[in-house]
Amino acid sequence: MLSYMESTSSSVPDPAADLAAAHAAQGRLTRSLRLPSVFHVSIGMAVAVQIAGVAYSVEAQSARGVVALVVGCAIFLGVAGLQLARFRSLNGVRVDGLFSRAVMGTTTSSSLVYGAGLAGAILAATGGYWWAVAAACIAAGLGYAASAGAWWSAYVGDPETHARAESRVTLVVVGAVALAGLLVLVALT
Amino acid sequence: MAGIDPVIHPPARLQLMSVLAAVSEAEFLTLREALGVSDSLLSKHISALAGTGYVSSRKAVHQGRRTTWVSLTDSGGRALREHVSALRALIDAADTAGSTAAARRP
Repeated sequence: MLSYMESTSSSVPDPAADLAAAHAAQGRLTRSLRLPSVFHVSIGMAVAVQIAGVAYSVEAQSARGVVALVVGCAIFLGVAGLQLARFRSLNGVRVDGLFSRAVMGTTTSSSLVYGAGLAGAILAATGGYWWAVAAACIAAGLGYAASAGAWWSAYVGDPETHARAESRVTLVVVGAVALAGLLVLVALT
Repeated sequence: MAGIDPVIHPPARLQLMSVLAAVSEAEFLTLREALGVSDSLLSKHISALAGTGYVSSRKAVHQGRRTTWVSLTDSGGRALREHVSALRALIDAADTAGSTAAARRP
C-alpha cells in the first residue's frame, strides 16, 4: 500500500492536509538545522578584530597599518568561510541568507552596529584612546553577534521569507562600496 | 482548477518543493531524511520537477563521497507560490460553502 508521501494522485482530496503536510516537512528540516559551535561568538570576534585592524591602519598611516588592515579582513573572511563551510557540512544545506545577512551583516541592525563601531573605533584611535578602541570593537562585535542571532531566530520561525540573500545587484553594490572604502583606507595609509 | 499545478500537486512533490523553499540548496540525503522517502522515490520526484525546470541539481564530492545538491529555481519558486495560493483559495471556498450550507439548515 502506498504511504501518503508515496501518493502521486493528482486529485484534490484534501488541500488543507496537503498544505499541512508540506508545512510540517519544512518545519522538520528547519528545526533540525544546527549552527556550528560558537558560531555567533566567532563571527562577532572576527568583526571586532577587523574593526580594530581598520582603526589601527587609519591611525598608524604606515605599512604596518596596511598589514593590520589586510590581516583584519583576512581573519574575518577566514572565520566566515570556515563557519559557513561547517554549517553546510553539519546540516547538508546551504542558506544564502545566513551568508549575506548574518555573516556579512546586511541586516539593518548589523549595518548600524558595524558602522557605529567602526566610526567610534576610528575616532578613538585618531585621539590615541586605545582603551576606547578596544571598547568600541568589543561592543560592535557583541552587537553584530546579537544581530546575527536575531536573524537566525527569525529564519527558523519563517524560513521561506528569510532563506534568500539580497539580490545580486544589491550584493554587487554593497561589495563595490566596501571595496572602495578599503581602497581609500589603503591609499590614506 | 486555475492555479493548481499538476506537476507540484502530488503531496510528495509539494513537500519537496516546500522544503527546498526554506533553504538555498539541500543535499539529497538531507531531503530524504526530511521527507522520509526512499532514494528511488525521491530521485523520481526530483527528475520530474527538474524536467519542468522547477528544481535544478548538481553533483559534487564531499569528504570523498559523491553527493547531489538540489535547489529550487526562480520559476519553481513562483510555481510553488501560485500553487499554494490556489490550494488556500480552495480551502477558503470549501469553508465558505460549508458555512453557507450550515446557515441554510432549518
